[in-house]
Amino acid sequence: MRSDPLIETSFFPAMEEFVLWVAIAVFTTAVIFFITTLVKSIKRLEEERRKKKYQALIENILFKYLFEEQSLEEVLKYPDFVEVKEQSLFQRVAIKALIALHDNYSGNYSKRLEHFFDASGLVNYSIAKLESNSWPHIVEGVRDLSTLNHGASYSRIASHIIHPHELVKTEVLLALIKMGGIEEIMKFKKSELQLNDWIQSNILYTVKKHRIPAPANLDVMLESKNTTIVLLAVRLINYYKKAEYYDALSLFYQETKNKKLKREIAQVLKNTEFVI
Amino acid sequence: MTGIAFIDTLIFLFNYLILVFAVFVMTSYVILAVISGFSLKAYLRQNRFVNYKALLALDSAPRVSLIAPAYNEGKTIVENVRSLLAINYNNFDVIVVNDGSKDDSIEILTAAFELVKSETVYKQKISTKDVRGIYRSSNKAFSKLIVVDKMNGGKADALNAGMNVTENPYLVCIDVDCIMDKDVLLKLAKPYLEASGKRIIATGGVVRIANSCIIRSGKLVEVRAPQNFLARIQVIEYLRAFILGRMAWSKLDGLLIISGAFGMFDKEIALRCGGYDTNTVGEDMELIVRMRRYMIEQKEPYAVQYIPDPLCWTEAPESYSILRKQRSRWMRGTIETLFTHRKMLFNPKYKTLGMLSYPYWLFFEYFAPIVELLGLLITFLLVILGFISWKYFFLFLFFVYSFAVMFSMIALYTEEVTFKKYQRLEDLLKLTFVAILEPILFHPFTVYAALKGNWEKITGNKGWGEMTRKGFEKPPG
Repeated sequence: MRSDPLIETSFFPAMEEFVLWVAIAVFTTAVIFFITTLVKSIKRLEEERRKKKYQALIENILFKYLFEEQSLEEVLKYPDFVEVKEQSLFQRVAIKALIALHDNYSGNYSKRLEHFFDASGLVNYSIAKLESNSWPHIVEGVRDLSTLNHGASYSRIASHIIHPHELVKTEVLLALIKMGGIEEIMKFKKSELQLNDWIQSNILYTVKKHRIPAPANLDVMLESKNTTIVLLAVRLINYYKKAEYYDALSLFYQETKNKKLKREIAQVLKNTEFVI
Repeated sequence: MTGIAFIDTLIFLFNYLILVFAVFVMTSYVILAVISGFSLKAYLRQNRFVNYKALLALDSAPRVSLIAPAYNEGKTIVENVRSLLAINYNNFDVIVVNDGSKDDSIEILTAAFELVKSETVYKQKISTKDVRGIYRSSNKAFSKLIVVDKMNGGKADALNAGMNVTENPYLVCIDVDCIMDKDVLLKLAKPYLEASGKRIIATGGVVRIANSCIIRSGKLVEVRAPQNFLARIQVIEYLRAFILGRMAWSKLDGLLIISGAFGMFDKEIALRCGGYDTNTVGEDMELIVRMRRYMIEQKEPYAVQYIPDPLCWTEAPESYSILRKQRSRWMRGTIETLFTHRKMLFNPKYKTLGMLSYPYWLFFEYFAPIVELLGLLITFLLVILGFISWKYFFLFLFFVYSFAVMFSMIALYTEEVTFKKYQRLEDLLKLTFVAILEPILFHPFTVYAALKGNWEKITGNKGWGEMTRKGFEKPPG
């Protein structure tokens, strides 16, 4: 092979060494990623297995407590439960199971589930999350405590309404509605809190799902300068089918210049065959 | 080398050019992967608490039309339409556009969904081939279904016909044979509810490979790595493109494509732009580029949103001949879009699109296969002439190979820490195995298909090429 002395002597050897080291580094990185993926995958499968085991355990305990009329003291002394109750994975699975059952049952059953949440100590797991500095943990804590109706945490939850993260604020708002009803939103009548359509759909969902009763004076929200609060009021009037406010809505329709509000009110009144 | 200064300098410069090009490509991949990683992490942190079903509580949720063009889909169309009608959403309808099928699609649809010809007048907001009839179901259970029967005009023409028929302000254009996540519309619509200030003109999401997955009644039940080797390699390819590529482009506000398999559009803007271009085979990419260009030129604040959740599952080609046609068509689509919008290249008026996205597509998507071919030819020439440093050659080959494998491993890792769709260890190992072989067996083929696409463009081939699908719902072997 013929060669250019300049290229052969100065370029190739230095370059070869460089490429060799880079290639080794890249290859090693590939291997590291593969091993990490494999380890994570194995850990995930193991966690799934444990989750299934804990799920069966907590369901067994809760069904005994709810339907076989075993006392709380009795079920909390189950050796399997005592063994794992301090493990965070178990606590997470247990709270999830409690919430799922709470969604499906009402009346005395849901009260008993709320009592279990408190008495079993699982509530401390959620409170610890609520007190955390990490916003996803706070959201989780707020959601658990409000869904399982932990009244004692109300003020602590409410204090997070000024949290800088939007998702925390929204979750707190939903929690307050679950725990205190629509009146909780009315408190924001004079605020500049912007409730976009996504937040409003979450509020309406919460109201429907938790069967939150209509407040006596829903029209108060129509007086707000905050158009997003007014829009929510219109949607709530529509949901509760409060015919006594249709005149107020009709008047508002004529006065407002906000196109979105006009459209929404027109739709509500059209559905009720109310003539504007 | 040759001893002839002129030739030696040329070879030397060419080598450096290839090296610089390769370094640029690899660096850009790494940068995009890093951006994607951070964006995905942030997205999942935000979205782990999202209850998409909440959107169903809103009576005034965005009204959406799912437009599904169908051509000779008679064998599977009923099942596919049923699956579309079962999507979780409150304000939507399904518009199936029978694009002059040669089979009995329209008769099958009429019988299955009790269709009757409607009196609706077809208004051509966008010019299309003639519409033979618009059908609606006489059965209230299928009240959300509209079927448009028209003369054959291609996918873009069928989508335009659907756009003409819909009265809803938002469109979701889909491939009728794709398996959609039941919450697809909830996820696509959410950004429109959150928009403040900027108008959302489009949302798009991730397409994944459904071969060998367990699908029952039009619903994805279990995700599995494909049994077919070629389809399995494409899983890796899709993971790299969607997880490590598009997520980053979305973050950089430089997304130039929303997959034709499914994407949601603001109808008003799409109409103002003239709808889908029927003269290109890359109508999905072309429309989004045109819409973005339009918004910039009109100085209207806008956004294009990307949803990284796997929402759409498609059947990947399992034969080299079909895959070749598909990839050649993609390349032709890319060429056509880049040529149509060449004004954007390095034009600061178009911001990220003009200064980053367009040049990236031009140099790293369009030119890359050509550069690879040139590199290969020069290498052969050097081998024949005996001017090659074999040690350096193999070292460099090893480096490039390692990089490709590393990138696939990063994609697999990202999938494992994010969506975790492949639940079985066996699938992970299968995918790792093809990731090791991909640079040797698959990549050269995609380069060939892309070059063939260039050739077809030069020779004036405008066809789509038959895309024979095997269909879902088979036992995975």
